[in-house]
Amino acid sequence: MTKALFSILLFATTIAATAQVKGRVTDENGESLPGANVYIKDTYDGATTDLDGLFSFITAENGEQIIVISFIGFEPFEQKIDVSKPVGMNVQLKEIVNRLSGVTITAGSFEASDKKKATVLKPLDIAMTAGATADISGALNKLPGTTTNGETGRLFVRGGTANETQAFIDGVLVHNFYSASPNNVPSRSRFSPFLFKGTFFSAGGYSAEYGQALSSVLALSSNDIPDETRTDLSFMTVGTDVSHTQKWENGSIYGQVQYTDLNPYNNIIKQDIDWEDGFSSTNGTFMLRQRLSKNDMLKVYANYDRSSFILNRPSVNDFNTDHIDLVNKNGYFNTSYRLAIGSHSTGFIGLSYGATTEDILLNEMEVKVSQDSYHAKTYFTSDISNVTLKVGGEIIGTDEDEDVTLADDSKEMSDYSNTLVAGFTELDYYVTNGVTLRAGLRYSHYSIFDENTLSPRLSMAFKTGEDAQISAAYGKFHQLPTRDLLIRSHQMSYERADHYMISYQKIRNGYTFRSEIYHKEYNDLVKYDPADRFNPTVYLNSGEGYARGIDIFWRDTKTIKNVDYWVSYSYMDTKRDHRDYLSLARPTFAAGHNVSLVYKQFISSIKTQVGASYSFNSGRPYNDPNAEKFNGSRTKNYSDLSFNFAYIYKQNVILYVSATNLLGRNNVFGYEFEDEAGIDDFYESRPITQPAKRFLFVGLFITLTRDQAKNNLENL
Amino acid sequence: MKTLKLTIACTLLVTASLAQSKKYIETMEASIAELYAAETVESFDPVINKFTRIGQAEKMQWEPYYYASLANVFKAFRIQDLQVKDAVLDQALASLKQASELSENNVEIVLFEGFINMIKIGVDPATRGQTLSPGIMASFGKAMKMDPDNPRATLFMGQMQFGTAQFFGSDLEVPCGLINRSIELFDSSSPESSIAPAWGKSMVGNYVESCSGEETESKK
Repeated sequence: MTKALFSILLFATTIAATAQVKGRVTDENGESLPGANVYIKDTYDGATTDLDGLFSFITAENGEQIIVISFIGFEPFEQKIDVSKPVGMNVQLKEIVNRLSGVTITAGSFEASDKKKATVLKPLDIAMTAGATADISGALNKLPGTTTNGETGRLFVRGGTANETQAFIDGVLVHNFYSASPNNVPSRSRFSPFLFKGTFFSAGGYSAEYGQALSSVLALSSNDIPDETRTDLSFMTVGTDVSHTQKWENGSIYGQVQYTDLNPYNNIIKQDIDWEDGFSSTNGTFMLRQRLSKNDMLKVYANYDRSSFILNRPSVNDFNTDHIDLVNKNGYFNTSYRLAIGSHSTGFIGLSYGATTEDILLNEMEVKVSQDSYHAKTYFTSDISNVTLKVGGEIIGTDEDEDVTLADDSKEMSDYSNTLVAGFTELDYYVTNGVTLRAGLRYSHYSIFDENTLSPRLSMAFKTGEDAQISAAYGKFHQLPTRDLLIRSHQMSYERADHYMISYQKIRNGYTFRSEIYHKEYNDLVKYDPADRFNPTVYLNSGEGYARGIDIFWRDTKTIKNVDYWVSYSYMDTKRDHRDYLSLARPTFAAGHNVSLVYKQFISSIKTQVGASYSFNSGRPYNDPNAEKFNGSRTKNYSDLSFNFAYIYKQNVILYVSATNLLGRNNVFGYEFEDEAGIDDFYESRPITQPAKRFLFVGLFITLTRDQAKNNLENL
Repeated sequence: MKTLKLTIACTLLVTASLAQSKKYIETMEASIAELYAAETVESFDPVINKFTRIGQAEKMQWEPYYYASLANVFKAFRIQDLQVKDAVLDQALASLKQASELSENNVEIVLFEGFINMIKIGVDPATRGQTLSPGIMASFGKAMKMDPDNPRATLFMGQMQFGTAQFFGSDLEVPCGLINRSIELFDSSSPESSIAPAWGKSMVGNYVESCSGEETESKK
């Protein structure tokens, strides 16, 4: 022991001989690398390469040593050298190619995130878009590829129905994304945009991880552990809510109680609907975030909501009014656990459960619907040099009962249940830092039909410049028919869509440009004879359709100081033959031209952020039974100019006001026609319009923190 | 004999480590001087590399990585292109993480993380202002709790509060109190060692004027 120590000391102190180490560092193409760090391992001796990649230093070390060359973005180089005599060396460094350095495939998708570079949107964009009134789907409807369907408030993507978009929170399925609402009155998403740090919206060509969506995927990532303990109070024209966040070293809990009642509002602002009892809801949310170790995160989200309304609406069929009384109870539980295994792998387990009951009284008829569904999912990803592999599996179970009691007390009971078992695998291959290829495969088994599907997905991105890329995607997508069809018949099969798309994107210092061309083919869509719709055998997968078009997006946060605006334009050509359609026709939810303009400006002199948005859709089709052509009629164009502002009175007090349809345009979304023609052989109709021309929202938001010094803007 | 051996060994060990630390201190002193002398964007790279070399040789010292981080921040100050600037600031955070792994709950590291994020807000104020601010305030708050007499923690907390108070047109008394106190602390406190962080006084700059104006106004 002492001997060894002595020799080490002797070695370190007595040797004064020096040798020169010099050479040149280049990349694989022979280009010099200035700024690389060259040194003898575990010593101070070394140098930095100059503009020509040259280095030279003197070392007092002796004998065999390890020389290290490191440079950001390149694989570190290590080699044994003998420094007893002068050393000369030329080294080529190899560029690091992996998930972090490679080009991200963006075909089809819009992402809002703080973490990743070069995202088109930021999380606050979702909340602060005028006209969206802090509704996630409302904000996404201002992006290309969507058509605003003002009478539903839901997302319609590239010629798909609202049911073709599937929402996920932290990778796990959301079973009822939208709140309950009467026919032709817009619903909102059940989730506040402020709960999420990231939003991934894909209009097609998405990963094999996601199934059960023919058109689109909306993947939300919830907030991590917050920075502080706080209490939030909100007083709004539509209700009030209180929430509290308690934070500790490695975790936090959040509890919220919300009460919404539109009756006072409906009494002041004239409504076209006769609300006997306006929409009201009582809602409670609980969240837990906990790190169990340094490398993991456990998230739990639970929500219960009870909402109800009663309304009378004139019937188009006779002189009576329809009386509708609805009570909806919805519970949702979502939990996920993510664990980093080493520095290259991640394991994930997620579980969600949703239970909904809806009691509807329509005149003398009573309908009770109850639905239970769960989703269990797990996957494992690993980065192996320039390849990332993801392997996973999931089970989605759904049970639904519908009991109808007619005026004469006769009952009709229907139900369905399905268990979907799926497995997926996906391989990302980073060929170089400029080329990424992705291949995925998804297998699903549908218990209700005892059938299997295989859905291949392929995509790639190719860097065309410093900040520009071309990407392309192809995929087969399968989905269970919607619940209203499954409750009638179990003799159908899954529906199918194929996506093809190519896109160009450039993001540079405050400017974003994107354009995408796509083609989508629908097959095996369910059709039935509307005259015989209670007969299960008439439901057949004999429908088809297509959608193709171009989406363009331009965002500029730079040209005018404190001003941020974006413009989006979509042209879409789509036809389909599905459900009760008589022939291949443009569907009622699809407009040919869609334009959105979103504007935001922060005016610091008055501490206010103002925003405006303008949306335009060319007329949507509707079917006029008096006309010869099916779905041949078009509504007038839709347009909406909305405005909002947020005034920061104090750091913790914010006043938020938003108003839709400032110009008071009477938008018509379609027409309802009589079931039977009158004696003059003419079907009378009634336009489907907005329940009120404008929607005005005023809210006061107060944040209480221990030191009273926190800003509340993010809570709007 | 055994005891003697052990005594010799211990003496030698201590001497060895002292000798080592002398070399370490001297090299660090020289490198820190180089860091403060650097002017152009490129001139920071050799300094950053030097600190990194010292860091990999000295397995137990946090200062080399701390100064590598500081050098990256000074480099970022001189970069106009926001995307490049942000990438250099990310490098600074990465080096600081290495430092914090060697020295947990180090007040200088805690406050410097807040400082880097404060600079990162400038890259994209509209979105980052709201998301990063609470974390930055928490970092400065934690640092002030750990060492109420740390001049940098006091100054940066004062600067953050000054910005908000100015924006809301509220009283500048509290932030100016912190900034003025930080000047006193910079003057009175002496760094623990020749290589302990001692920078930041120059950043008091314009605040002195704004705050002295504040004082006279309140006296009127």
